[in-house]
Amino acid sequence: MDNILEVSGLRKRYKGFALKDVSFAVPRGTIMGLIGPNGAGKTTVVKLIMNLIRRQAGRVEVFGLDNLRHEPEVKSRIGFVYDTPCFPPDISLLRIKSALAPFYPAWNENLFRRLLEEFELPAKKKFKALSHGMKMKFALALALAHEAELVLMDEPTAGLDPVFRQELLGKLSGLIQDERKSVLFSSHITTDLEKIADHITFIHEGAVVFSSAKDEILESWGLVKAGSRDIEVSDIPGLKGYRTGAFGLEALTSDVAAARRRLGPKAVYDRASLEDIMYFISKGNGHA
Amino acid sequence: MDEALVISGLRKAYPGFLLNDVSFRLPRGYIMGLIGPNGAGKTTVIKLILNLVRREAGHITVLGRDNLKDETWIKSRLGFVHETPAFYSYLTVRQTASLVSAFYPAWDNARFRRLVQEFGLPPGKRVSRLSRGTVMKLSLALALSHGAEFLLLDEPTSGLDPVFRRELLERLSALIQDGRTSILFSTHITSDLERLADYLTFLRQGEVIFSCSREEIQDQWLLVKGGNELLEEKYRPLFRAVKSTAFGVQALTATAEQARRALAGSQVLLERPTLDEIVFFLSKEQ
Amino acid sequence: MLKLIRKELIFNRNNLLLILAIMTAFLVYFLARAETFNSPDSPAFMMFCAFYVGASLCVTLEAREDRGKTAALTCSLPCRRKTIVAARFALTWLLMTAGLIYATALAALLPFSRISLNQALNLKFILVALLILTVVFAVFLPFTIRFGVVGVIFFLVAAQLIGLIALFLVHFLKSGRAEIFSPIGSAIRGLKFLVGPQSTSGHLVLVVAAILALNAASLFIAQALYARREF
Repeated sequence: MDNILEVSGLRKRYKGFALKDVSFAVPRGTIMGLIGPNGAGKTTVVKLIMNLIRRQAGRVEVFGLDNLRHEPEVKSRIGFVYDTPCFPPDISLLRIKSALAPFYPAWNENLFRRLLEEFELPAKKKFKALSHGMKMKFALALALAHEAELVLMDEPTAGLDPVFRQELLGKLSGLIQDERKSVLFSSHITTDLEKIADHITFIHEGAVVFSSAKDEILESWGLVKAGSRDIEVSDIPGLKGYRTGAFGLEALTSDVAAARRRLGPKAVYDRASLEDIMYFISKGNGHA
Repeated sequence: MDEALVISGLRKAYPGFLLNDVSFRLPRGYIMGLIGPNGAGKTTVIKLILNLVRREAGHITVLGRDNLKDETWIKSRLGFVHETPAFYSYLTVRQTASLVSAFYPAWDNARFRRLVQEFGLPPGKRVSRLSRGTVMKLSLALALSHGAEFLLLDEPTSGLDPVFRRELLERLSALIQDGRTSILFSTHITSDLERLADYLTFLRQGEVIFSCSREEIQDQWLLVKGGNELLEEKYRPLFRAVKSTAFGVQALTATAEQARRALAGSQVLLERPTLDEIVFFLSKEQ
Repeated sequence: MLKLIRKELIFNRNNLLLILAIMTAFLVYFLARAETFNSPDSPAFMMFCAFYVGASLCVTLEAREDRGKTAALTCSLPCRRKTIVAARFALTWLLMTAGLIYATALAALLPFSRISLNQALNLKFILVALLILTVVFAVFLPFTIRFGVVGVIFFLVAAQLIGLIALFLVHFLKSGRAEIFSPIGSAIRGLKFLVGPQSTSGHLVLVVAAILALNAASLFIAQALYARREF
């Protein structure tokens, strides 16, 4: 199974922030979730893929093609949704569509109309008359209507009600039934990712903390909880972050099975959700 | 004054949308979550409270005063966060703060600086260069820095990572401990509501579907699962909403005691619904 | 490239219609009253305005995109940055040509028009107007790309201030008068010469060459700038 997107050694420096050697790959027919605290670099990665900003080092290959050398071809097969949808405010949705559709050889007008109906979008209304959620839905409809092979989304669910979010996730899952297509999306609603992502890439302070299969992560990472005097932090294998407090000690480990073997009944072990992982790595004290 | 917000008979019409007879109240010192599907009118209600749009009928009282007659008085005690914060994009964080702070007599600069540090905001950066989540954080920092007695937050956690969200919710919880501050916030993230809201108001297509306390929901609301007998006329007045699924019929009732009595003896399952289930149930009904 | 031009036209439809309305009003008035402008050059002025609208529009469109943040959308579409800029230039020429045809048509067709088709279609007028405007947008388009709307406003304000200062200086330092104005004076004399009866087709060929060269240079610079731009 080949990769629809390969990012390697990506580097970008701003004043006060730097993306360091970011590398990960999205296999065909999968959904990858991109998580990380605000300002970690998720949007930067998406912008680098779309060449909205210039990279300083590294490679981005989409569909096996370099994203700069084959820019138009690559982009004609990517459906994008950014966290703030920007379309000209005084134009109706249908007109906007008529301006953009010709850029995509695989544009499917029937699909677009169906999506408009499904998303309950008022086709003749001006873009500025839409609520934020509806603007996102419109961006989505455009991105999906040209049968994109890679759907690239930055925070697509921000501002969407839970019912529509559920439908969107369902739609994305359905999309990748076609083994050639993939989805890469960054989201702060980690519970959504836990539901549908196949892979997760966690970016923190400009670097990739991990990029692996979601099931693997949720199985091997875990929380170790104990009274403060029962165990030593340094005893915990694969320690990634910990907190101490009135409740005792709570630690995140990337190998909960090893922790269980080493510490046995001295501690309690629990599944770590993606949110827990983010929390301990961002806010927890040191690593072993 | 024991109510932070009183809205009665609010009405506003747009082409193709009508906010109709919206009424609810929020007692002082509590948090209310405003929920509902996209386009239900949540942002419209918030804009009406702030007098950003003109209402056609109804009354709004904030902190005991009429929101039109005492607009300035109210707004100097009101902190707000818009769904898409609008700042001058070429001003820096610091400059924005000095612009905004001039309007608030109770501006607490030390507090603002502390928040800037805790939220990780770069004071010298232009707003146009900030990520969306960071702009949200700026908006929050401004709203929290002038001792506001009433916080009006439209999707304040949109675009914020779960770590920051968790801390923000803790911070908001702590704020209302003094019994003086009240918060009305709209959100789509039900897990935030679970952690935070004392009261809930559900809007759909411009109408209030329900407005009550979490306790009331816990005590009085039930999810009824059974067969087609639930569709019968005699049960109609009991249920807020009824759905047929592949597995049978589900119904939501807000009168647990009555439902229990009426359904005693039938083959039904009675469960306490989660917020998620309530939202899902009520969002789609026509 | 055509798709890009079409997109610009669709996205800016309202803007364009408004400008068309204003331009029509102006041209109608001008054509009706042209005889009172006591100068054989007045058709040139009309041409200049017709072109000016087209030229300034392209800068306006670029500025609008910058302000409205739809630039991220344009740069996410399947086309190269170079093509986007080339399309802008093409659109500018398209609008200028349309302006010319429109003004000429009005001059020829309006019954009360005081300018005849022959007077309007004076090659020298057209070429010189094109030259002036090419200089204008050749500078402004790359400038707007690099510095955005805010930059353009800064520039215009700064230019006016500099002009004011220059006038004051000249007024107070009477001796400086000739020096400061002489480049401007020679430029104006040069243009008047080109437009007048003494210029030959040789001169006009040079004008055309200058126009082409300026466009090429501007296009090149604008493309380089746009390729570097980050959104």
